[in-house]
Amino acid sequence: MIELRRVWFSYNGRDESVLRDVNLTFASGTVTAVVGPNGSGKTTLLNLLLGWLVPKEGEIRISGRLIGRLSGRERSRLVGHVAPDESAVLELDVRDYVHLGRAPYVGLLGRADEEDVRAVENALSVVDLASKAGKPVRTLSTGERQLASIARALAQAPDLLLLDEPTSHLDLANTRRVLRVLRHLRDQGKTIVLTTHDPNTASVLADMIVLLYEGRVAATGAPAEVITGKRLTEVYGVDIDVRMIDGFPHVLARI
Amino acid sequence: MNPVEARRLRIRRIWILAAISVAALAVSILFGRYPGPAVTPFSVIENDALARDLILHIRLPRIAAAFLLGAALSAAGAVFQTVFRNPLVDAGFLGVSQGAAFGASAAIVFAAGNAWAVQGGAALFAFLGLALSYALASRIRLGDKILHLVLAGIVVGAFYAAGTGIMKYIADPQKQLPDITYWMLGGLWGITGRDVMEMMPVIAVGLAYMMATRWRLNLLAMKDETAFSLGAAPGRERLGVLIAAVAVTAIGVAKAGQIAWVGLIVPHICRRLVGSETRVLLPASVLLGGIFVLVCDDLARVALSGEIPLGILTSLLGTVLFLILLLQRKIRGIG
Repeated sequence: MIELRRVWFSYNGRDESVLRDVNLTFASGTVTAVVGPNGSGKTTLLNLLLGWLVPKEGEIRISGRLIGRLSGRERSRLVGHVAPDESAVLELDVRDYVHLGRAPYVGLLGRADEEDVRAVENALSVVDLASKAGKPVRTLSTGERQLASIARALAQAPDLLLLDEPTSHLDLANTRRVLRVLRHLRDQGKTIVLTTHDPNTASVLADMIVLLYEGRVAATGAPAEVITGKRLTEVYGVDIDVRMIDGFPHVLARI
Repeated sequence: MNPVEARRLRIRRIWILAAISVAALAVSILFGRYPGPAVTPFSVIENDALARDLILHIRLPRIAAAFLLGAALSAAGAVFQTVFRNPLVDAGFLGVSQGAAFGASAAIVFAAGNAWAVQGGAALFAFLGLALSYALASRIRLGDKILHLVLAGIVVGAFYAAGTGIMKYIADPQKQLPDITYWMLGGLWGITGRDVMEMMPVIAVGLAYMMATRWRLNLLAMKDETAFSLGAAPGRERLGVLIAAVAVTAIGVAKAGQIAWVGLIVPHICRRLVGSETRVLLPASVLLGGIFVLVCDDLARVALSGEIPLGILTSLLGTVLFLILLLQRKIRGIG
């Protein structure tokens, strides 16, 4: 379980708080989607959960332990992170890239033992990239690169997986591939927190949605409770229709 | 090819480079202008005490210095290219080379070209280039931390280049200006055994540090948040490996002047040979860099009747090789 209590955050040298009095609990084995307009604090929230940013006030606990008190190795065994298109510039082969996820477990020279090899091969097969393991990451499609990044984070064997905009720039087929992998991981017991600009992605995948607006939690709960036309119209400032399709709220922005 | 075979192939290529290094070091002993124009035959070495003296006190230090210099510049180049996620950078980044050039020319002008002052000035200002770039980068707000360093390095480099221009302008045109020009052309003609002993510890420690941390360079090539999520301390670890890269560059440039293109081209050729994974890229760069500068220095010594400055040869060969890679679209990214 991950808990944020009275978390405030502002960037150095700026008075304005990016996050204000955020109180959230993420249950184990669930997917939470953080949605909200540009600049509402989604990525900042993710970076706080990662421990990369430190709250100005309040505390963040993972499995009861304060994230800021963990050593780098301890923290990286608990929390994995996938940045948007993080592998775009890398020339490494896919397998070598995924092996970087074993950094919290291997020695200085990165030598792999049997368990490391198993973790890497397993991560590759979960995202269905085993057949491309010997190719340079650069030669993969955008969707496959995103899956390779997820495999890299999976090789880390973290309890909590953070994904910043995992489906942005992906076409429908690749979005579906990524969402299916994430759902599979949730079913395996991973706790997943992701940010997205697409409320429909959030609706079909997430168990819980956090709607951020100007640094505050505007709403939190199951997709059908949070994604309503009235609420989204208020937050985004444009007319938004929400229809229920197959039990999921589906968002249509009027032009 | 399965992963085990692929890895074996990379490692075999490193061993081949090691064997070529040993052969190049051995053969280089025979190159020189005594007694003939290019090669000293075995029979002369056996029978001529002067030939043995020349080899021991002049050629051996120079051969060792050339190999060490190439290894240092190439390893530093591979580190710079990886850490800055940019395949087109070398020690010229962060104002290191320009700092060394400024330090050396200031010593030529103000300390009458005293050898210690020239070497010390070059090394001191090379390091100051790194320190200034880091200090300036911390004040820049545009983009991410890597971009801060890149921008700061450009500013510091340009500032030093202007300083070097001033030194050239005020230098005595009869004596100091030619000295500055010759230093900038780069060469190993004055290298002694003592110089090698001074280079050795810095380069040995710097290379050992880079070699020990070479796998983690892969992590440092990633975005800060990603590297951090993998347990790395990106800021501290980058600074550590950059200090090692600048230290070996600074001592090399202090002793040999500006030797261009080695740090840029050798890592690129190595990526073609063994791939971009830094665990194999770095040892390959060390060995091929040593071979490259050694061969260039052999040519510098014997190709023409007068010695060609080493920096000119490395630039000439480097640009030709770079052009070939560029036309074959073999220039690769990093990481």
